[in-house]
Amino acid sequence: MSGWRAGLVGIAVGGVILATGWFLSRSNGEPGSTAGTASPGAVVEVDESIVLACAHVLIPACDSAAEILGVASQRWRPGDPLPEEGVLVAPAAELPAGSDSPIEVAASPIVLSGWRTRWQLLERECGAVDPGCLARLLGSSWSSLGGSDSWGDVKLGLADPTRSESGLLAWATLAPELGAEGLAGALRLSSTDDATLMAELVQFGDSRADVVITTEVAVIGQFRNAIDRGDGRLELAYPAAGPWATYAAVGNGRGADDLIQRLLSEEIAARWTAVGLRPVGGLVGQAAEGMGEAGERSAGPDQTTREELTSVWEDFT
Amino acid sequence: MRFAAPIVAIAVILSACVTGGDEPSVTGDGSPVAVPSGCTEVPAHVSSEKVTLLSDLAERFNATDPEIDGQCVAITVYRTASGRGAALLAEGWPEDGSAGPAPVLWSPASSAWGGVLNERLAQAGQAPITGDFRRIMLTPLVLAMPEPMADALGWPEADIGWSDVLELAQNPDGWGSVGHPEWGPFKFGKTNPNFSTSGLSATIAIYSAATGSTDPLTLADVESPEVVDYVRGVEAATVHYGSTTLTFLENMLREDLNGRPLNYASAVAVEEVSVIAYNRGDPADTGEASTPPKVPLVAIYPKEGTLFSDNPAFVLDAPWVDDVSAQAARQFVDFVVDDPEIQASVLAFGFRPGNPSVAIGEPISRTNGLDPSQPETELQVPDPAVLAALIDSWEENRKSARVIILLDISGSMQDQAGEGFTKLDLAKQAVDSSLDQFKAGDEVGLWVFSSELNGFDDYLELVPPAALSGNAATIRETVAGLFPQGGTGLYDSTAAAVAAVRDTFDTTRINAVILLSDGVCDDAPGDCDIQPLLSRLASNERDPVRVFTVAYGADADTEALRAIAEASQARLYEAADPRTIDAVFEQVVSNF
Repeated sequence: MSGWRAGLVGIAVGGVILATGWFLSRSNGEPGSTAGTASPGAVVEVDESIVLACAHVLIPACDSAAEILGVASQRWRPGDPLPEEGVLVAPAAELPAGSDSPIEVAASPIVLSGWRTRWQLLERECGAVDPGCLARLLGSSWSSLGGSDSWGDVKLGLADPTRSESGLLAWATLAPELGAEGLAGALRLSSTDDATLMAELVQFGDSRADVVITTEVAVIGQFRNAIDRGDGRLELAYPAAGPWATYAAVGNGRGADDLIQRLLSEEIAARWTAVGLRPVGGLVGQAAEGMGEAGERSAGPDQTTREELTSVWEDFT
Repeated sequence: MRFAAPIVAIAVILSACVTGGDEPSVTGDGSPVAVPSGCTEVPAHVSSEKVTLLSDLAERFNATDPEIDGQCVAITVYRTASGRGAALLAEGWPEDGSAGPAPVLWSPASSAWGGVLNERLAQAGQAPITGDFRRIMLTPLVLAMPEPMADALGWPEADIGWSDVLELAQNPDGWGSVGHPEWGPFKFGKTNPNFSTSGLSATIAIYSAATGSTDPLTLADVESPEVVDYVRGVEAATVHYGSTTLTFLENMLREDLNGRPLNYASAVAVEEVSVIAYNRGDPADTGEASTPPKVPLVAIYPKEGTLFSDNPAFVLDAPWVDDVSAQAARQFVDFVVDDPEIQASVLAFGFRPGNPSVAIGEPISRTNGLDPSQPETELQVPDPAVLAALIDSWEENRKSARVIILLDISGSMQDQAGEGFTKLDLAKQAVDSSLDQFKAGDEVGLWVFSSELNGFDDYLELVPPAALSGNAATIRETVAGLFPQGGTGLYDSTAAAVAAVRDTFDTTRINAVILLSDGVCDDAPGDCDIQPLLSRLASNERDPVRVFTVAYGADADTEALRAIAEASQARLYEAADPRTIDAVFEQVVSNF
């Protein structure tokens, strides 16, 4: 990584440290905390009966928003129903069937990420790490790229596209370059969703996967944690073009519409950018600032392409 | 898919070998399970290394008065070995309470066991019951080596791996090849992969190293003559096998405290957490005050790659698990994984946190001989068919054994053991069925002892050691014809059997005696002094004959048998209840 980039990543990591520290100081993921602090000195009473439910990767963002909104925060898993009273924010394609008029509230580009030392060797080989670079080098021995024998081969991590929208978008980004045969011997980490993928990448240090393709927000969510694992730094790069994961809100019960509108406020946007999410309106996540420009946002795959992609994946696995 | 593939084949092996594990399901601290009146018990069955930790965490969780839909719930923790848990869940959890209540939450040492279970269920036409899971904590398999020996190989700067083990094992100069002839040959400790998660991981790692690749093993790899040669070379250095790494660590610690830290084993394949426990002087991780070893172990993360024990928490999707219990179990898992303070306590136990937001810190540090930035490559559990072939191949290519089974046939063996069987009846059945665990090339003999069976000798050789392929039937017939008689000439018989093995010591084999006794030496006074026997066994460094002892029944002289086992750097097994002898004998034979 070049010096300017390293510095900017440092700034980004610092931002995430602040955000994560704040997050960890809360109630450790227990749903429904009793009170929160919106800003110093201003205690917002929490109405436990109104819930902001969020997909896994959005938990930090939603805990943060729920604190401002004075509602309970809950994790939502695909297949769970809408909250009885409140709002669900999840990948648009994973919302429960029949969800009325979902409103896009945030997005996250599909990015490539990997452990710093190994990433630098990929950059040396390819110039920039992109899907084409991975297609060429996945499965190669690290020793042939100037790395250590003990690193084994270049290994990939990807969320399961049959279970995760972000996984499908990541696979859509990579598949045209790689093909199913390229996965053989290279795919070493496949998880239920993007947040789990990144958590597993960090849990195992740099031993399980060297590079992943997933959402920007999932990668940024693990920047700080990576400092203590593997070779201590994660790198990130944007494909020149590709789909973005979009997160939509749907409401249920009293006050839902109002809650959704408040999710679109600048106050919430500021919190979300701090954890690497891109709220609608074009704000770049603070945590992502300086890591380069996201590539051109293209439309996600159509239904036929989705079916082809999942079919190829299922054949492989 | 490959990385998530269930271990099919080992299921077959484990169903035979692990169901009778030596770790019965008990509450975490041995105390009665306390479930508040009116609360729903949510049983969690966990592998032994984390039972203390999770018992404590369950207590803390229960103290929060958890409720699901208004129903009070309480987590209870039971110790169940990983393989045994998989076998019991596959065969149908016993309804008689002998294994505790059926689990809602199951946490084996490795997520590979979830695959084993699902595959076994599939073979029986049943739906899978393990799916998505969260990891409570992790620990990688390492080569634990006394620090001076690791230093001699260039640790910590040098990349060290299985190839170095092979080189040392095959070099006739042993440690002399790296400037330390005083350390003798390279001696390796590794558990039996049919019984132990770390043994299975080590076996996969050795086969992978033999291929020179980190790609998942294939059938062609396992059958390759070059790979087989490599595996044989590493296995040839093995001192013995066994069902638990604790045997190795306890023997190493005893030798260390006796001033012979480099005597018993040069390296053992264990989990990283075990290195920490050993260096505290508490290899069983009892938490009690202990004397640390004079020479600590350091962890070598094999340069060819290694595997993790990832301690998954499976909330079972089983017919006996209702929604309230499942939700309670999930809430408990979230409590354990999400709370940074709790995950920091996982670290204190020597495990790597499952929650990535908790930094890896003390005691996983270089000052303790560990490297938190390692391993650099994780190996994968191979496909089921490959794993089956690998286990078969290991059985064939492991170090062979040369064993005398020395059986007590004293008069007390005719005592009733229940259901119309005498103690000798059950011991005979155990010996008979244990023969299937040996491989055809193992040399096995049968001796018996009581008093004055052969002139003045208290022992009698009934079947001399020979390849089991030729004498299994003879041993079975002979055993079937045994009957109880006389007293217990324990020590001179043991000494004679050890001498017989030593006289024909075979350096290419594990040379051992299996001694089963139900009583106290009642020989002539001079012949019941144990010290000469212990001295002889302890001076057995050049041609070590291991004496694995079985204290059989309530009246066995456990202390004497323990002393004999420890003097020969082997292990005592206890079968106080004669009805457990079959399972105990399986454990004994796992050393070969």
